[in-house]
Amino acid sequence: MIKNKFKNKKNIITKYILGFLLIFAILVWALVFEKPDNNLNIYFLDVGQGDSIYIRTINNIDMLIDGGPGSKVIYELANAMPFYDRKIDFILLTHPHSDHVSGLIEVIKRFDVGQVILTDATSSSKDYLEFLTIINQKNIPTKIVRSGDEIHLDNHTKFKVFWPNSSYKDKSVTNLNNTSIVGKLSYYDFDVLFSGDAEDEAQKEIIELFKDELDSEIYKVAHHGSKNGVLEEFINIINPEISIICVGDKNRFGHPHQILLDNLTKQGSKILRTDANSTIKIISDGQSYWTKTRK
Amino acid sequence: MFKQLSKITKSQIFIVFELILIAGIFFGKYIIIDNTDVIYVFSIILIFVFLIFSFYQKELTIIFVCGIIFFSGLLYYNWFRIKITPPKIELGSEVELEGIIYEEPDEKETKTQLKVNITNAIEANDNIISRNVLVTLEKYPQYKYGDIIQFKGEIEEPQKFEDFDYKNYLSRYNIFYIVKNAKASLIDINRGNLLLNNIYKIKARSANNIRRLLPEPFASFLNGLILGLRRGIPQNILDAFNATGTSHIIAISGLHIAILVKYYQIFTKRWPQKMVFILGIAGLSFYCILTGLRSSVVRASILAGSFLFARQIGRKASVVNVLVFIAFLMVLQNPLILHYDIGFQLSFLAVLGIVYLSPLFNLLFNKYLNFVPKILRDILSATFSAQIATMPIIILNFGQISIISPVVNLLILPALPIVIPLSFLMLIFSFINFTIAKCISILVWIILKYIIYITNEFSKLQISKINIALSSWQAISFYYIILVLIIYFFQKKYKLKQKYLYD
Repeated sequence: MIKNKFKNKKNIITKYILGFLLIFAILVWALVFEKPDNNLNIYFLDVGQGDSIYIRTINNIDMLIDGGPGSKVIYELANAMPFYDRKIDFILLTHPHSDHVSGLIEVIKRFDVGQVILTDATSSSKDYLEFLTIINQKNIPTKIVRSGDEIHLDNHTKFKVFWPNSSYKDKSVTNLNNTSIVGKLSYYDFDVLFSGDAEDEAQKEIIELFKDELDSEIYKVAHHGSKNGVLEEFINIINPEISIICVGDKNRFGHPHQILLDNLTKQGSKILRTDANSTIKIISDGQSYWTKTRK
Repeated sequence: MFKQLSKITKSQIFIVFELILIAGIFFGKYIIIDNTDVIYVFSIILIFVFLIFSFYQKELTIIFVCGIIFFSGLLYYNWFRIKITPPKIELGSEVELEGIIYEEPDEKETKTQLKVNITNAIEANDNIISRNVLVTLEKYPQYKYGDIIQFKGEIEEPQKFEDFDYKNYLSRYNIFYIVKNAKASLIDINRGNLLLNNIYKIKARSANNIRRLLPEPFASFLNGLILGLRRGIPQNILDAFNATGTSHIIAISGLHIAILVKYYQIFTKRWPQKMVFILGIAGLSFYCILTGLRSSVVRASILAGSFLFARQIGRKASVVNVLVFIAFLMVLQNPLILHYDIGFQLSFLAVLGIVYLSPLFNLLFNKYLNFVPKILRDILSATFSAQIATMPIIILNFGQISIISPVVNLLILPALPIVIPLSFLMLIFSFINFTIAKCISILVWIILKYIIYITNEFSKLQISKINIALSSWQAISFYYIILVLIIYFFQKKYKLKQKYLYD
């Protein structure tokens, strides 16, 4: 009788152990499948008419450049990040326009954010103010950058800022697009140029300041391919192999502009667009790179 | 006939009266009385007729009472309709109003919808005061329940769309006006009900913690599953749930409440009975408010409450008695839900189906599916029963039914009793120790991933759903009459017992 009872108890314990092992096994496999490769991964997220780019280094340091409009970025990030990772090390806001800042509000609410990088050009738009409020509430350190600054994501990956070259504090800004952070992400020999919404005026000055450093394999086209940011010289100096246009399907601005598309083709650059290709993923080992698109 | 009548128990008479009143309210939609005075006069005449007959014609009293109750139902519906009929307001005009947000804001992708009870007409006709207005404005800055706001915009009536009667839909929430693209400013905060204010605060913080713990779409899915928030679940996932006939799991319903009550019972096994009862009722009420007082949750909670009460006083409570009583109360509170709240219709039909049809399926399955574990047999018979009982209403409203629903339900429902308590545990820990909550969240994630994966894969099957159009009420009535006859026949044949809340 007593023996029997003991046996029963043993049975239950075995069952529990088996159950636990099963869950553990599933977990391990889940982690294995989510394990990132030994490459730099860059995702140009399909967030509609706006910019949002997610970067993940080989050391799993990550950076989000802009958040697009609405909160679509949350769903896109869920696909790009491993499920257990609820931290984003750097968030960079190029400039305070709605199609760049809106999505970041929800991101900051949901993720632990290491640092927010931005300029001192401000706006009185509701979403930008909300963005600042939440950064304050969550006590997230911020850093205002200027041309020449470098952000080291890890030992091999850095982001060098080319623009803006002056402070906007207490200055009235006529065109916020031209306050955009423009910079280059470098991982060994692989470079990507991010240009925010910088228009011709800013592009001209950037050329004067950093002519020798602009050359990049990948170019995130300025201002969603608007006709205000099509300076041919700028494209010539960057000399991109692939140009990526973050743009919404059938957007009301008519982006991207035909002149720009012609200029890029003339330059010999391949064009990828988030409206046609959906989310675009660039993978690089520091020497070569390859692309994956959802569509 | 009257000899038979005397055999009927008190509770049965009560049920019959309730049902007759509900029927009266139902037909009130079709027999329109447009004048309140007429309703009052009629009511007085009815009372007199009733008194006279009860004096002189005692034998026929019961029939007259039934007639009078039916008629009262008709009058009640019309009285209610007139009461909530909106006053005439010049539509399309620019107004400036002040009011209090009386429900939680509904946040959409880029906009927020607020339900505002008007307290002050700054630039508008005074008629609008104390009416409800649905205000759409930009997502930021965010407002909360209990905030007083001033807003400007064009006042309109909700539109009727081709496939969706927005006006009818809103009328059941007592809303007859909308203001789109309003410009608002905050006047005061925390002016709502103190209890609601705190419960909504807890809800918002809970939802936030879930969003911090889980990636999308799992966070939205879990928020729907345990907090009743349906926003944010991507359309493709909602479609997958609809196509596989499993969308009932994102709407909190009897199943969720039953699981919670079951765990509550296990948890409080050693506690004094009285305390279990009082805490149980308090907990259920709290959960009802937390999840936004949806008809399915209210119904299930009252049912669960009656169960706890029956245990407390040591009596059996019949499911149907309680169910009819709940329907009666809810219809009395708002007669419009009888016609315009599909959720109300579906949730009651589903429970009735489970009560009356599942014993039949159980007989069948016990005989032929003996090798299957009991819990799976129970799920299967409950799914079949609910689906048969709700099929015509689903076809009428959605134009399609799912045929693989039993299979998918069989695969995902056993996950619910695991994931629901785990999620609550995770939620509680998210307020105490976020690291522990994070550990639990991994388990929750695996189960949610499983549920979504299964529904997604099955929804891709071509045969998953059939499109049918059905709109004749004759066909629907015919279906239910046949169904009732079948149930009646089998109940006689196999002498099936009435279901009590005890088991």
